[in-house]
Amino acid sequence: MAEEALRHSEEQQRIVLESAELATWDWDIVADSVLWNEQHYKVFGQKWDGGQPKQSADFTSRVHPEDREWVTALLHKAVEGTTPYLAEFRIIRADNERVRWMAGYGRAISRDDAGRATRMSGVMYDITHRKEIEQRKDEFLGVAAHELKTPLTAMKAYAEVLEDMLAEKADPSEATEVVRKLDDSIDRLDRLIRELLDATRLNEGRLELRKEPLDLAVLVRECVEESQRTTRTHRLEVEAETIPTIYADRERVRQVVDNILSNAIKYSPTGDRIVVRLSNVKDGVEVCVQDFGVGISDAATDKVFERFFRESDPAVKTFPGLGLGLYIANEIVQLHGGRLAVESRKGEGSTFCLTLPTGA
Amino acid sequence: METKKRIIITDDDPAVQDAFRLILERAGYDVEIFANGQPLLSGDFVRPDLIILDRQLSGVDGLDICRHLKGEEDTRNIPVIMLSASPHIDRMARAAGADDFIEKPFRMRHLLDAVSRHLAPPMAA
Repeated sequence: MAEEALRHSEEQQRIVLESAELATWDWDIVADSVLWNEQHYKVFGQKWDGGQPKQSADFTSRVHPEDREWVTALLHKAVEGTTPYLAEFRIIRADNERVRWMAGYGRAISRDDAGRATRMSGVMYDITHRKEIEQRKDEFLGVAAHELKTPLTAMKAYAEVLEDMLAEKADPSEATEVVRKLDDSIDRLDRLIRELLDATRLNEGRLELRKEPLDLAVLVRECVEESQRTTRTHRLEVEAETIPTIYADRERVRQVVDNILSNAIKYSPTGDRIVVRLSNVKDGVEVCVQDFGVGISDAATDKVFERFFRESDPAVKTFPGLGLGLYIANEIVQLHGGRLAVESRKGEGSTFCLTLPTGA
Repeated sequence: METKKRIIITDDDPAVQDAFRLILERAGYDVEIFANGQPLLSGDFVRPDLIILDRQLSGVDGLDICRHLKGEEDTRNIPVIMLSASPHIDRMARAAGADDFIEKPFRMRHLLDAVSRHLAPPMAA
């Protein structure tokens, strides 16, 4: 009965380790002989050899050269002292030389009279995905913090000029002008922060859509009207077929359409027509916005939906922003099961087309 | 009457450009604004008395522009103040030949002091 119980317990343990994809190691420290389970060979990219005993060097030699010294030191510390071994480090796989991030944990099972560990057991598992996400997040935060300093620069400057003007008892209309500019800067900063929050949520897969029946034609006309109010030099025209109601997140779609329209205005600085076309396409509806402005170079067209991308052509007057608008727009559209595409020719203008599926 | 000193400012953000113009014109300087660094690289500009150079300009590295200006005979003596949102490039800016470095956001007083300091005529020996 006891044997049965033991076998059962071992089987259970094996299942737990397998399902968690945990590599295990069992280290006879005195003889320097280590036993690895099959998963351990797998994570190292090594072929299973039936469980031949290894030496501790077979582990440390797989550790990334930049991490090897401190990981080894940590292991020794766990052997000599009373703390468990706990580390996040890189390894280089044997099969493809790829670098992977690992988390390792181990604890002494038995000690000699001097308190030194004689046997230690532990686990190791792949945390590469988590590390990559952490790194992307850090990078994102770094870029974001940097980019936010631009609107802050303008705001601080306006505030200090205002202080000066008041001290000098300058013309009130001049001072009022500066206050207005300061206020505009604050609005811009607000928009940028919203964009950042959106991008963060997208990054973490937390952007949720609230879909409802949506008359896209009505929404587009509203956006066009509002955009028209922001410019005296552009003429926005709408050409629309009759399109069916779709099922989509009204505010998010508005965000996308607003973004495309404001880009069309921004990137045709000499003013001009902007044509907005609504049409039926296979399994969906399409909104195309065409401007006749500066256009996008071939090289940039591929990257225009990337996070933080901004056109770097010196001939194009650059505009402020985090370079997140189109990235967010594209993500929102894709979350709807739709598509955002651009066709452009430098010097002739661009056409952005947003396609959203009909049906739920 | 003393002629106004001319300052070229580079920054690709319209609000920052406007704020610079406000500050420097009120302080009595003539201001010319470049949204990107191309003219500075091609030499296509009227030589000013001082240049305020942003680190990032439409994809062109301000450090490269600085090195170029300091390498050319007719621009190497124009004082260059480099501007950046990152405090860590102070040493790189000076290595590229910049005469001063200011971190964004800056205090107006700080900027004006740096400008007048670098525009001051050299002291007689």
